Amino acid sequence: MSMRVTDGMIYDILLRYDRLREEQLKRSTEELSSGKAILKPSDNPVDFARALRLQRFVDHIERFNRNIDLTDNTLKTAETAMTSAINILQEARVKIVQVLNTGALNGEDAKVLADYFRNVAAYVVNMANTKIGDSYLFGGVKTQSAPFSSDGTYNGETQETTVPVAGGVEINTTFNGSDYFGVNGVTNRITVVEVLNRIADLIETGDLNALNTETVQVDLGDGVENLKLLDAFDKGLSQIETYRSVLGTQQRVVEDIKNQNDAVAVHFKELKSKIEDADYTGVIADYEKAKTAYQALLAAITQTQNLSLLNYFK
Amino acid sequence: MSLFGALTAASQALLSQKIGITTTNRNLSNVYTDGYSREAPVFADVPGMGVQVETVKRIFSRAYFKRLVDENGEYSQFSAYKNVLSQVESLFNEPMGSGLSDAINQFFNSLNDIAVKPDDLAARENFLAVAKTLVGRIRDTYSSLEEIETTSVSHLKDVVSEVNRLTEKLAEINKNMLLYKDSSERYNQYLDERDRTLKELSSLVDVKVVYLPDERVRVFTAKGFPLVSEERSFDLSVEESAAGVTVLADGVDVTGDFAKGEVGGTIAGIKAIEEFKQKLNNLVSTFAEKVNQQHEAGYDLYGDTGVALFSSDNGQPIDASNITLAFDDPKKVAAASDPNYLASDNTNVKNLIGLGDEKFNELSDLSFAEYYGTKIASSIGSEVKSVDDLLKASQFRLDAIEEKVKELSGVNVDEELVNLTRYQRAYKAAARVVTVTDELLQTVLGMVG
Repeated sequence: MSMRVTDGMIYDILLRYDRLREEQLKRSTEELSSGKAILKPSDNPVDFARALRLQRFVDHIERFNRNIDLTDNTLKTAETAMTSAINILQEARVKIVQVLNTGALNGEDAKVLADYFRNVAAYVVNMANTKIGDSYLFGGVKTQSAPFSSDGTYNGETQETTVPVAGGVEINTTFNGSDYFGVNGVTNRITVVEVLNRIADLIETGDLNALNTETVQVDLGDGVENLKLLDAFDKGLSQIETYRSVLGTQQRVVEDIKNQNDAVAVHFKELKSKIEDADYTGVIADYEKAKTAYQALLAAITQTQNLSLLNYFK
Repeated sequence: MSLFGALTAASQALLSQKIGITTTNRNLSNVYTDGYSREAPVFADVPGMGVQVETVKRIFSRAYFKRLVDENGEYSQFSAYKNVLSQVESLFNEPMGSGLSDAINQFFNSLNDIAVKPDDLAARENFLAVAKTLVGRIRDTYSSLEEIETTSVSHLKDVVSEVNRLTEKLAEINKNMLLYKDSSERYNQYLDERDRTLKELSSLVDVKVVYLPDERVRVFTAKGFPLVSEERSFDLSVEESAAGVTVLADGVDVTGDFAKGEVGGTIAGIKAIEEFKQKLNNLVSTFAEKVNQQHEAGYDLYGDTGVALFSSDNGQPIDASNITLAFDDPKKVAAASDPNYLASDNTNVKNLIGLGDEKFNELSDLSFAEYYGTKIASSIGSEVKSVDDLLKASQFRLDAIEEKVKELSGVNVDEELVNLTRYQRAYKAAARVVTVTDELLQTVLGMVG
């Protein structure tokens, strides 16, 4: 038996498909206007969780980069302070060598020279007491008071503070001054400052020969040695130079990490966008399809309505 | 047959065709009436008498109707369940700006500013503001869940009183329809009304319908508790307790009887809300406990230790309903682990940051953000999606069976017009017989005169 089509059914069909098309049109419009393919968790629960996760990674990485930006100034200031100290120490070394080769100095010259060496020593201590705002850089975690006294004695901590800049990588926000400025383990004073002051003392006594013969005990972490003044100076200076290059390396590493972080963040953002952003071409095609189907439905209903025996009863 | 006999037969025919026309009229009038079953007169030739309408038959299939009632119950169940769930879903809709994921990320990320400069009061202030936002989000989400629950419970009560109204109505119909057993027109109207009521009832609760030989119905719950028995109906009631809601029939808990219909769907929805409240509480109390533990281990700028960051505002253990910030003095954030360097040591704040990536037993070995993302947000999404799929399938089946019912019982105007023409013709023919017989009688009587 063929199907009986009753008049009520026609309207049911209209309603049913009308509802369906409306829904499709609404969905497409929402996707087009929001630019998102996932409008709520149930649109795709798995991708929704992935998008949340990716967003977290991106936030994390951007946070790392912010840490890098914030600590960049610290690294740069520390490096500048060390470079200034090194430059003046290198000039002082030339003078030391000159003095070592001089037989005698008159009183006036000796005083000028002694003052010069003491000034250099004070300058180095000053650089070692560099601060950003009210925090000292070279006292380790002890940031609230000057890490070095005027004679170069270290009062800071060996414990440094660091912040994370990538998974498992942390960089310094404070530095252990005893390493960075080559503090002599025997006297707990900056080696070069100690030597410069000693040289100034000897010049003032007028005993220039002693400059060639006197020795000091130096321990820069590799055991106590008896060194002549110039050798002790060189050892202290070379330690400062070494740690300046550690800083330089740290800056380059941080730069690399930042670039890498940026690249990874872009990658995650792309992944996230692939998951949750609307595919405009596809959505527009869907929209057009739904629109056409909707128009066809309306046309079909109007046609069907006109087909009735009633038209032939006069 | 005598001429008078012919007249009698013709008048019988006139009456019968008129019933046909009236029936057609009723069918045409009800062409778009929901739940109307079309009627057809059954003509019978009475021996020696011509034609008679034996009965006006209601075109109806009980088998289709039973399937319709079943599908209808299922459809309403999914629809009510989805209605509750999508309200819950909207609370965790990150793309649209609600949800906790971003606030949790922010909480841990903003600690970094303190790590970079532990004595920076602005950084500490900012962290507390972010923490306050998170607490606010949590509390809002929780109270919205409670609000949805309250609304759903009162909806359930409304639905149950609607059930009571319908069962009363059925008992009333059972009582009255017997009075019209002999008037097929009225009787059919009662049957239509009875079936409309049963269909409506089936969209609210699971019902088992038993038809008595006299067409009266008995209605039971799935497990056999009577709702309507002939001329009596039995009321249901809703009771709330800490354990949830229960539906009672005559003091007996029959909640388990109802899976389908709006009642079943709403009960399932209320259960789902409870479940998500529990998950949220689990997340929040674990979060508060772990963060507090770490915060208490550190030292603040005053040198104090053992200070909690979160507390509860009602004396109960911390959960999503009562969590609050324990202080708003930025100096009380415990960033240091070393009491000698309160302003510069950042070890404790780094440990706090580390909690963000840590996985916890209490959270099924997931981190805070992962637990939120998978066990709460994505989980409600999956549930909504699955019930949505079920709803669509059920809608499809319901549409199909409704179409079947309408195919059989619905009115086709063309068909009725053809019938109308047929009855009109037959009526005309019978009328013609009357005039001809009349002429014949005249003739016969003239012969006498």
